[in-house]
Formats: sequence, C-alpha cells, structure tokens
Amino acid sequence: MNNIRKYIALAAKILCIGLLFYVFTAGFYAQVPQLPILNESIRLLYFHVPMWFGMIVLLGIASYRAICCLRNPSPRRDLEVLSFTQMGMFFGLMGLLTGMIWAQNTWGEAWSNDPKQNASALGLLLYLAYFTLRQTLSADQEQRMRWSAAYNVFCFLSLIPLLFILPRLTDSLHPGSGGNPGFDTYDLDASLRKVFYPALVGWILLGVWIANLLIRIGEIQKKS
Amino acid sequence: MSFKSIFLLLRMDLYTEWQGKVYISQGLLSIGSLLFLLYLSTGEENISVPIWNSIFWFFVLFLSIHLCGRTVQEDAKYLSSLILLCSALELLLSKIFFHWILLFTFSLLFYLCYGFLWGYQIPQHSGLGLLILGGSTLGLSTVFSWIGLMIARTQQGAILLPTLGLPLLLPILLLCISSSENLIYGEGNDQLLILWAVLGLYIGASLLLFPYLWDE
Repeated sequence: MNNIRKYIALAAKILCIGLLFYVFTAGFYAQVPQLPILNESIRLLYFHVPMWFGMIVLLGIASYRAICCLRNPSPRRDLEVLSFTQMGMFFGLMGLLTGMIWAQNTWGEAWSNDPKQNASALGLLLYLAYFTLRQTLSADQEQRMRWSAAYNVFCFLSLIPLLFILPRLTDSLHPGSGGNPGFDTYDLDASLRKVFYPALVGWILLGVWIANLLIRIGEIQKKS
Repeated sequence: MSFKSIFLLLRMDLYTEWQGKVYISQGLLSIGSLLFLLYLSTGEENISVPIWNSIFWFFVLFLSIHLCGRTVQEDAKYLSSLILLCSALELLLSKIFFHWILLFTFSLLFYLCYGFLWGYQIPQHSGLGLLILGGSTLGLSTVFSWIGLMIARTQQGAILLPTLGLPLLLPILLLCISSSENLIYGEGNDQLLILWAVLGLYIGASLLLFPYLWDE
C-alpha cells in the first residue's frame, strides 16, 4: 500500500513537471487567436485563471483536512491545514497580481473596482484573520488546533458566496457576468483549450506538491 | 438538546438583563449619541440613499459588536459552571436568540429614530425591510455568539471579537447593503432570497461545528 502511494506521488510529480514544461513552452510560443484589445495578453489565461482554480482546490483540501482535524485532532492534521491554507493564499495572491497585470494592459488600470477583484481581495483578508487567530492562541496547542480548524471551515464557507455569488449580482468586467460573454461561448477556441486544461492540472499539482513539502518542513522543525 | 433548557437559559439571560439593564441602557445611550453626532455633523440636510444605507448598516454592526462583546466579558465569569449544566448546542442557541432579540429590538428602534430625522426610505416595502433586518441581525448574532463564546472560553480579550468576526460577516453585510439599496430603489428583491440562503449556510455550519469545539 505504501509502495503504491509512493509510485502515485512520483507519477504526479513527473506529470506536474511535464505539464508545466509544456505550458511554459506552448503558452509562450504557440499560436493564439488575435483579438482586439486582448492581443497577446490572452496568454495570461494559462497563468491567471489556473491560480484561482488552484486556490479553490487547495483551500478546499485545507477545509476538508480541517473537518478531519475537528473529528480527530492531531498536530499532523493541524500542520496539513496550515500548509494547504498558506499555499492557497499564495496562489490567491499570485492570481491577484497576474490579474492586475492583465487588467493594466486590457482594462486600462490595474485596479478598476471590479466586483470580482474586490471580492477576491476580501477573500484573502478573510484568511488573514485565520492566521491572526493562530497567533493569538499560540499558548494552548490543543485549543489552537480545534478553534483554528473550525475557523478555517467557516472561512471557506464565506469564500463561496464571496467568489461565486456576490460578483454575479452586479456588472463586472470579467467574462461571464454583467452581459459579457463567458469563456465557454466562443472566446476559448480549440488552440487555447489545448494549453489551458493541462495548465490547470499542472498548476494544481504544483500547489499540492509544495504544500506537501511545507508539511514535511514543518514536521522536521517540530522535531528539532 | 432540549428546548426547555434553551428556553430556561434564554429566560435567565433576559431576566439578568432586565435586573441590571446594562445592555439596554448602553444600547439606548449609543443610539442617542450617534443620532446627536449625525445631527450635528449633517444638520437636517437630506442624506443621499447610499450614505443613508451605509450609515444604517454600520450602526447595526457597531451595535452588534458592542452587545456581543459585553456578553463575552460577562459570560466568562460563570461559563465554567454553565458547561456542567447544559450542552454546547443549547448554550449556543440560547446565546443566539438572546443576542438576536436585543439586536433586532435596538436596530428597529434605531431605524425608527433615524428615519424620523432623515426620512424613512422603505415605507412601501416595510415587510421585506423587516425580513432583511431580521436576517442580518440573525446572521450577526450567530457569528458573534459562537466567536464570543470561543473567546470567553479561551479567556482572550473582547477586542478579538471584531477582528475574527468581521471578515466572516463580510458576505452577509455586503448582501444586506445591496439588497436594502435595491429595496429603496424598487429594483426587485431576488437578493433577499440569496441573503437567507447564505444565512442558512452560516447557521447550519455554526450549529454543526460548535459541539466539536466545545467538548474537550
């Protein structure tokens, strides 16, 4: 059983490296449709959008581990929640930064008060409160494990309306809301899809990989 | 979980409140001083709708932090004996109802005084307005109750309450502000449904998670 897990992990790492290698070469050199305003900046689709998918997946794993930690608390699970949350936050921050670069070149300014931009910034703020909570409760390990796990689940629950419900109620510059066409209709043609889907898988695998490394670093630090 | 013990806990809270009248007098004092401050700073000029709306919701938020923060300090004194008498869920539910009753009453009172001075903005949709106010105060009291109980249990200061509670409440507050603005402009009320759906999510999650936190 342990051997099989080892091989799966190895295969996932090789897949991740291969996919990201493909994404970086094809993403920068392959043909993309030339559209007005977007021009070459459409290549950011392979880097900006996977960040958000990665963030949701990583924070989802974190809150799943948090539920496990609540049912059966252990320092290892607490560390898993922390590492996946840190990685999810990093992906979210990168998504915000790449989005700002994209917005600077297509919408004219880096921050145009777009509801999705605002909501995702608020989402990151939410998780900062999780780290604040961990710092305040640093005295009692057992208590910190339980409370921060519960808070993490709650954070994920409030992230869902923030990212998926509230921005859709108002006009947004992002595709798929406020009368703008979604990516599904015609923007995302076959040549983009060929790189976009591998990019999603590759970036998510990279996030999980780094989170696992963080967990191992944390365990070594605890031992020494 | 029995409804009788929830009711008894709630009655105990309300009774001690009626004896001491700490929250009641503080709530009245803050409503009065805020109205006076607003009157001095704006005079009797008309306030535009977005500003009217955001001042109203800011005050509801301020009041909720105020009321629930006091409870944290008061409850911390006898929490250790209460734990022996009732289950976690009963304690949480009684606190939610207690905060809801206080918060809803004071928000309604503030709305009446505020509207008297600067115009009632939702006269033709008062039923829907009450639904929004009831929902938002329920959400605020739910989140602040469980965070407040947690802070009281870990014996941290009440200053943590807004730090931890505010980020979680952002979706509810944003939905309240936008749905009440829609109501004022008469632009349909489909956001009200979303508000109550999000509230259901919050209440369900806090009721499910809380017992795991409490039993140690």
